[in-house]
Amino acid sequence: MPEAPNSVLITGTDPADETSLLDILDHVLNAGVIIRGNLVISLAGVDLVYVGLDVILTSVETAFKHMKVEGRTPERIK
Amino acid sequence: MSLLVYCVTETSAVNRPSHSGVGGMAVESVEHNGLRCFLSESGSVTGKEVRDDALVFHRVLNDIFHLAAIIPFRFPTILSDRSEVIAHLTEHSKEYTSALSRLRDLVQMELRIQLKESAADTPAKTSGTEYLRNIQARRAKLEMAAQEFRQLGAGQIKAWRQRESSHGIRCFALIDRTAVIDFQREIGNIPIQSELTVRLSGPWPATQFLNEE
Repeated sequence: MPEAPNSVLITGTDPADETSLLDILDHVLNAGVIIRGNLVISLAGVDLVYVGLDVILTSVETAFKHMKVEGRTPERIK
Repeated sequence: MSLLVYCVTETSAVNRPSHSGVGGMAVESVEHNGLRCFLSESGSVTGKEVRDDALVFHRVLNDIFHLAAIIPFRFPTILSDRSEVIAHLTEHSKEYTSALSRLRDLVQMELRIQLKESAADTPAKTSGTEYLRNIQARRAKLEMAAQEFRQLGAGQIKAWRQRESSHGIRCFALIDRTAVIDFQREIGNIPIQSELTVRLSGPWPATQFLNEE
């Protein structure tokens, strides 16, 4: 017997909503213009260069995909 | 001091973000060739609290996007100084101007269509052929659902793009800025099959429609 139909979950762009938060981070990190080669993030006073940025500038989904290819286990960072 | 760049708007879209930028820095703008690029000093982007900084970045974008079409930069995009910002605007002036004019009154809504775990699972022991058939059937269900939403929302949708993701299909609908509530209502009223989960989010800047197809 088929199950009853369900409905679409509608979320906005309010970070207070946990579901929206994931969407926001995904959009901020994955959508928009990229200027490759001009990005520098410093961590503990050390400039992370291009190679590191490819992982930082991505969603968890993409990062995990990179890690799986490289045979690494994702580490959760707060 | 290097600069964190947020987004580009048309110069005519005069609105300043009401929030301060990442690290509490003031958000300023640079104008060039009819474009305005919003930026702040980037000294505080440390990588330690990427999530919090990304949310502040989003808040600034939202302030500006609330009233005008924007072309956002991915967080964190950092340029060395204002001359580099101007060089970037000069290089991309034509495409940015064209995209902002085309998308002036439009926003992007996103539908994520997925199969629920039980429906997405393939039996552990299957032949290669069976496995491929399962994948094909899964894709067909998602594609059918996407097309259904596209057809039912056709009255509001100006353009549509979709792509597969590892969990299902992501669909992007370009709609009028003023039609967001109606679109949410319309899509929200569509009954969906019990094996699917569908999430509608937005309005977002129309980043999937920056290039004309």
